[in-house]
Amino acid sequence: MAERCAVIGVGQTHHKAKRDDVSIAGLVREAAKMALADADLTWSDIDAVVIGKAPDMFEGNMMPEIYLAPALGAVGKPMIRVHTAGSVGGSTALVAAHLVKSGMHKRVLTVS
Amino acid sequence: MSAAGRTVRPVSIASFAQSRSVRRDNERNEAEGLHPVIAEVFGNIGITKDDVDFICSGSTDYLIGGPFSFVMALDAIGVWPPRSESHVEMDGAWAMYEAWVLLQEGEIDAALVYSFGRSSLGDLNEILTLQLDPYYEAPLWPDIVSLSALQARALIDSGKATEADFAAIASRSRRDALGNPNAQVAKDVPVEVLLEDDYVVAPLRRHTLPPITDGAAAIVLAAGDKATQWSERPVWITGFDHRMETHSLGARDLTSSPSVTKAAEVAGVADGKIDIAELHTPFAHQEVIVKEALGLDDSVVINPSGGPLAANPLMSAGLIRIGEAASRIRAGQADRAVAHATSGPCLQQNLVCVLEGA
Repeated sequence: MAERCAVIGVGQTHHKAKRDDVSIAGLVREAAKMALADADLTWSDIDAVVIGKAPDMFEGNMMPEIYLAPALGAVGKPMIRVHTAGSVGGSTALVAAHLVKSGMHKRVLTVS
Repeated sequence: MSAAGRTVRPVSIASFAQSRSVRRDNERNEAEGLHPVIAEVFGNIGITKDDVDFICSGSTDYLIGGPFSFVMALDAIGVWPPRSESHVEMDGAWAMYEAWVLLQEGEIDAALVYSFGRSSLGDLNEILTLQLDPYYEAPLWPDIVSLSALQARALIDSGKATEADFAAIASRSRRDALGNPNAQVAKDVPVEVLLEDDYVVAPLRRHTLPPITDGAAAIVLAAGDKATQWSERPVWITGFDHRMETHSLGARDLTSSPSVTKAAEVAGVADGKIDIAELHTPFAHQEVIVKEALGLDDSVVINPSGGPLAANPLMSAGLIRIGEAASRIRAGQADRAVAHATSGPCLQQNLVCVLEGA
């Protein structure tokens, strides 16, 4: 029997042609911090992290979850990297939702 | 049965298939290499794609050198009418985790998991450098063998292992691979002969490095009635977890693996006697670290398939560890096994799966 699952916080960076002021890690962390603040949670409240990204070749960084793990507070936690081409934003949220619906985790941070 | 400290729905490894591991497969593209593996994984248990509710794969675009290579690979299955499908840019062991999570919800009863990688297409040692921090590490081009050598050196300096220990692991692995028809490097070479090898990057000699391998693998997962219908002796997943460590090598103790220890704790490795362990430790010295982190004693048979020192198809080598462990349980050679997969430089991310016979 599936658990119920809700979106309890969202964060979105301001869209701009070029964000020369932050690194890739800084950009994803900015969105994650906004979502945590919106949910009134801290990094330690998060059980698992799901990151979506496609394709890797945009930034030239192979399997970027490896490099982005500490910026998203994933150290010591399960981290999944979703890659489903243009649908990756939606697919990433689906994988995160399944982690909660399956009862595996209570609070999951998902960033795309 | 536990994962993340909770009771899990029993899910079985209903079928496993893998390609022969080879240094270079120039004859077939990704979908062509995968096709016979998919046919075999279904054929083993007499089912078709219509019998699975979900498909999840693992692969990386950096091997083929173009975006979305997983899309072309779907031709090996044929996804029409449209199928529920997902893909992770991770080893197939993590694709299996995603499918297993869906099976936990109870709305589906069967899933196909597969992975593929042609490591031979480029310079793998350089390609893997692109996994590093793109600002502070990758521009210096530290290759993956050199980073692994730093880890091996730290392990020697800690007093936990010697170069002869690494050679003994390589010697045993490649001797065991003589019994594995899919292995790439299978030979019986004694430790003292291996220790005459030149260094590639000290303290790593050639025999302590994994071969570069093209290959693919697939697993069918089943729960509920399908698990017992499709297998006379189901192999159950009784614990499953994975954990990440930080990226900066300078911030880690490279001689230990807290992520393996944590995943093993959640998966319940210590809840019973482990007969065999299939460890995704591409460099010989990493077996010492993972064995200790899993809490395995010397009675555990490690990598009876030959392990990644005998065949290391990138993106599939972890999934193959799970399949090899399951095959031995199904054959009655073991009752309880642990399989491990890794990702990132120097064992940064690790997955642990506990399997048990009926």
